[in-house]
Amino acid sequence: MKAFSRTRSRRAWPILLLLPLLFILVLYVAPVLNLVSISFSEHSLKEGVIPGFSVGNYARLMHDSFYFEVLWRTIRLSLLTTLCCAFFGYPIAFYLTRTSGWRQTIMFIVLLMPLVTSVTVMSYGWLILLGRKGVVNTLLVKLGFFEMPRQLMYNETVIVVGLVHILVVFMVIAVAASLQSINPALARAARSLGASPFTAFRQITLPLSMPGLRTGALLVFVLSMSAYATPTVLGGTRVKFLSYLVYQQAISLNNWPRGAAMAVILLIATTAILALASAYGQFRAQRRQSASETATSTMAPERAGD
Amino acid sequence: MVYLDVRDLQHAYGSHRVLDNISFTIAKGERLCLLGPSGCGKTTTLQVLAGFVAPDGGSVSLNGKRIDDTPPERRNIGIMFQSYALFPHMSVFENVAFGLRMRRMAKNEIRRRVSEALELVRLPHAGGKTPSQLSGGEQQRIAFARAVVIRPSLLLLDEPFSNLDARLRLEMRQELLALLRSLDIATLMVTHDQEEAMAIADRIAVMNRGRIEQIGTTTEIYDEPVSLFVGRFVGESNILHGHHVASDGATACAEVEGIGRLWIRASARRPEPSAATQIMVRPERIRLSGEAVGTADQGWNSVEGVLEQVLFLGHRTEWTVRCGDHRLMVWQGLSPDFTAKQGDKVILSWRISDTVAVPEERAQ
Repeated sequence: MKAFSRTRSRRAWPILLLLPLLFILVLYVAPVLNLVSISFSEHSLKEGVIPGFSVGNYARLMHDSFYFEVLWRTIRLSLLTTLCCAFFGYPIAFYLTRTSGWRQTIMFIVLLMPLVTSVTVMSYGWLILLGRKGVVNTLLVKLGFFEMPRQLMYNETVIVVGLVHILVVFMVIAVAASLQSINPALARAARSLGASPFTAFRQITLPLSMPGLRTGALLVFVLSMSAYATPTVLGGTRVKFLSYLVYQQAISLNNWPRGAAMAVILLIATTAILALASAYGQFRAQRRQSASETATSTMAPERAGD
Repeated sequence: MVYLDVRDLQHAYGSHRVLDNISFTIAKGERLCLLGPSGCGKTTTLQVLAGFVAPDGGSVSLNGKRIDDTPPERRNIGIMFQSYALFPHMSVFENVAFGLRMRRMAKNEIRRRVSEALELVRLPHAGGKTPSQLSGGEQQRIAFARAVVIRPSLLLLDEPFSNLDARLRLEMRQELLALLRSLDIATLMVTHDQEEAMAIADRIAVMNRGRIEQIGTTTEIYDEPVSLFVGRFVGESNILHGHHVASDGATACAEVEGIGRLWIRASARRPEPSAATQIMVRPERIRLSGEAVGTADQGWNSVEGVLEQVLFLGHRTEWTVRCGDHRLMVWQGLSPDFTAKQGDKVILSWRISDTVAVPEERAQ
């Protein structure tokens, strides 16, 4: 009887998987495949998309230095955003796990505010702050730091500031979850064994919170690589992100194949950087393990016979 | 010789007093156990000694030196945590070596001392494993090795057996005792389990509501509890409510309603006649029989009762006997030669020297 129900439940699990699988196929795999296929078709102003197979879009992009400049800026600023989010997010997360009650609640509300507010509204908020007649300029002129208002908007720095503002919450939540799962007795054990608070943090808490830092970095990086509204509003007409170029091709110029090819390259670049990062992480972990193994094998050479 | 001297520790979380004048000493090589229910302040006391909690008042001296302002990392106190707190991202070797690395010892010396420590806990080949590859008992032994490898001035054990299953617990109790004896370190253990406390400790301090109720050797605590709380918390007790009628030099006498007069072992305390008192008798000290074992002159108290229940548990038989308004437990270890059925009249006898009076519990 029991064996029967077990075989039946074993047969049942693919059916359970079917629904989510279908969901992913229809809503994710199909559009991406469609995007890839469009990127290989040609385009003319009169006829629009011409079905077929050609690598023309990619070939033209390879010679487009402007496109690569924007791609490189997107990657560079996304990495910088990720770094800043880690730098600012980690201490916030650390504080968050060590506080409770209303302080924690207020922290969370402040952190989540940017997510609840529309990105466009928020970006215009930056405009009010940093514009030529904005609060910061007025203040700096009055205090005598600037002789006259300067352009603080429409540069790379302000894009990173804006992105960090929105995305830091993902880092904070990921790191806080990871910190919360660390047994507080571990840091105390390290202290009792002679580690200063800083050493205990560096050798125990930090390495154990790495998974959270990795998850947070992944989220922030992916989200900022594909960010559209924030870099568009804060970067203005001169400093563009790749998502804006894709939008321009697909919507303004109606050149879907070229836009698709740009999007595919963005997808590949993002995936490649993530793969590189994870490979490096695994390489480090392996080297650490082999290092500790040699340490113990020199200690107990008879271990092999055990 | 006093080695650890804890004096008048006071601590409160908000309006909740967790430590109320905690004072005790530990001699060199002595094992003291703080025993009490959860929330009695024993863990806070441990945290104060470790340096993780700064008390509101009081002082701690170790080997003649005040350590109140010494941070945890400079106290040289080994701690075995309740959860063991082994570093999960380090191998067993690195775990045990951690304290030595912090002391900037030479690599060879570290290797030698770690393998010595692993040898001591009988896990010489575990160095390359990670903590998650070890069983609960093995993890505990590594935690012990890590705490003693630094040659601590004081060893703190926080509920050392609470994470082990019942069978392993008995095994590890003996093993830990053997290790502690061989190392001869001043040790403070914290537990809520009286059997563990009696097994490991030389002396026990029974704590309740932030105070030490009684501190003494294991036999003193068991045989001469000074309060109802101690008598109840350490082992099982029959408690009879009565009041004093007389006391002369060697013995005292109390009247218990529905039972009659009972003789009480002499104690330093001299209660007023007619003062309310509680009389305590351990269930394993009572004998069941058809007739009284001896008279008061021969050193015996006898009480008549009606047998209510018999439970045979293998290693002992538990009898429940009703005497007046009281219900008494009687435990007999050997298979009893005396047999009786439910509802039979029986005589309970116990020595006057096993009859302890404790004052009426203060209103809290």
